[in-house]
Amino acid sequence: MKVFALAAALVAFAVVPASAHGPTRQKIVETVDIDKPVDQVWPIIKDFDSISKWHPAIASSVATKGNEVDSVRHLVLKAPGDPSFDEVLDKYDAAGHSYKYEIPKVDPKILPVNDYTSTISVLDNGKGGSTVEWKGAFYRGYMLNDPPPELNDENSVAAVRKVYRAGLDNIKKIAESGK
Amino acid sequence: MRASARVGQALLSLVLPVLAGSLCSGPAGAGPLAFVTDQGADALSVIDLDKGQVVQTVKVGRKPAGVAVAPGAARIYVTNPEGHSVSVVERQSDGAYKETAEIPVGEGPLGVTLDNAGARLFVADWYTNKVYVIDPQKLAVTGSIPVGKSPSGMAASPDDHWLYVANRESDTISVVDLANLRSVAEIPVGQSPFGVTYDPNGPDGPRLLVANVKSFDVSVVDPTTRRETRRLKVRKYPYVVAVTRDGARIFVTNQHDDSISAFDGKTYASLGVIDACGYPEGLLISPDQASALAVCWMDNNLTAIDVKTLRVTRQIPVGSNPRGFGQFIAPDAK
Repeated sequence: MKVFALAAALVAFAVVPASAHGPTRQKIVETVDIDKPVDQVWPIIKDFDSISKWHPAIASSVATKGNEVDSVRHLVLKAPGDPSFDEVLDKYDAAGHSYKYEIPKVDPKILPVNDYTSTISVLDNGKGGSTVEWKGAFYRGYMLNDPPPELNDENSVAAVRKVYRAGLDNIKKIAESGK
Repeated sequence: MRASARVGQALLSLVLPVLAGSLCSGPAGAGPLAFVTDQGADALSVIDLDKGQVVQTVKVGRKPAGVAVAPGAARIYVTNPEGHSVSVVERQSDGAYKETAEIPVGEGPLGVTLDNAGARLFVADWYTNKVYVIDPQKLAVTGSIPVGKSPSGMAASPDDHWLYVANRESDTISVVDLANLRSVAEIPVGQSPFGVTYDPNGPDGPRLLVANVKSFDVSVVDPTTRRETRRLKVRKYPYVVAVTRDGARIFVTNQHDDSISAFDGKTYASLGVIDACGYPEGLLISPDQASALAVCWMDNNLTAIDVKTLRVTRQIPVGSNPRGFGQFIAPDAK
């Protein structure tokens, strides 16, 4: 099964056009409620290069220009072979406790997405605490019709959702433990 | 007998004006209507622009994206990229809208436009690199025109002589002669052109305005010489261009920047970038020319921006993951 998945992914990679748009764009919005105010939660994620400190799947995240627009952070995952990819900062809104970034290109075997953008924000939940909201927009890992199962809409969405959930749940843990 | 006749007459006089009213004015009869494809809901939102709300949600096809509204808004055509079809939605005698036909077409129909005479419907197919021609009377595909790679947005010249087609993976605009349905030229533009708008009122005559998704700019093209004459820098992933009827203001949706770029349509001077909404896509000028109306995919709304003050004036909630790619308001709406 694993061999098949890998082979299918390799075939998919070979025929995907350089830039693509065909299938339906997917949207994910995941949130976590935290029993701490915005000014105690925002510092945990505010630096673009801090993701390795709060996301359990990421080993390192060095950024070229900190929180400046167009800063590129290089993510290395905690996985065999040290898979990695880059994310680019598109917008940074310190006052609004939010930033937006994109993935110019990623191997679909690492993350099955194309044309991926993401926004992470810390919002006041009106009850003295905060809500961290993580939104993603992307196309599935396979851009032509009839995708292999591991690169279809459902599994691409599931993969990103898993990444968001792990990160958000850990932000909550860090914030509420006060470390 | 007399009494019952009188009752009948009374009933008639009650019923007739109601019927007449609904026949003339459409759903709950008010302002001009916008028709936004809700891709995540397999639906078409019918929005009353005066009321500022959705007045009907029509179930259509599968993952609808592109839209074209016939003059008078009696009929709306919607592309279903994943259903490989075009849905036909028609106004019923009670003013409500309903899907009445689904025409199988291509493998990834996305862009859709009517010619100005309303005689032919064109559907750009992402995967087969063709524009299909549909006869709106017969509701059948009558031909196809090979164009560049991954055709998307289209616009017909006012005289219906030419159809301009953005080829997203060829970085060109195909010029189709509608007399013989052949592509006669390809005009190089920026990288990954998507939306194409024909404006008869440019400062130097007619112009095409083309959003280049991957070079983050807009190509201004002279349709007469078939040459690009200018590039306007915008933000990340521009999608569609809209221009006021007098050619005085140009607006561009920037998907990845959550913003709308505004330009003086005569001098091309930048008027600024408006933080409008999440992932703006389809864009049109309202029939009264007062607002730019952007379909916001991430935020599930239709956002109105005042064309003069460049401020967001209204956000109308619509269905899930709206696209509104195309002419989502009838060309003759007032």
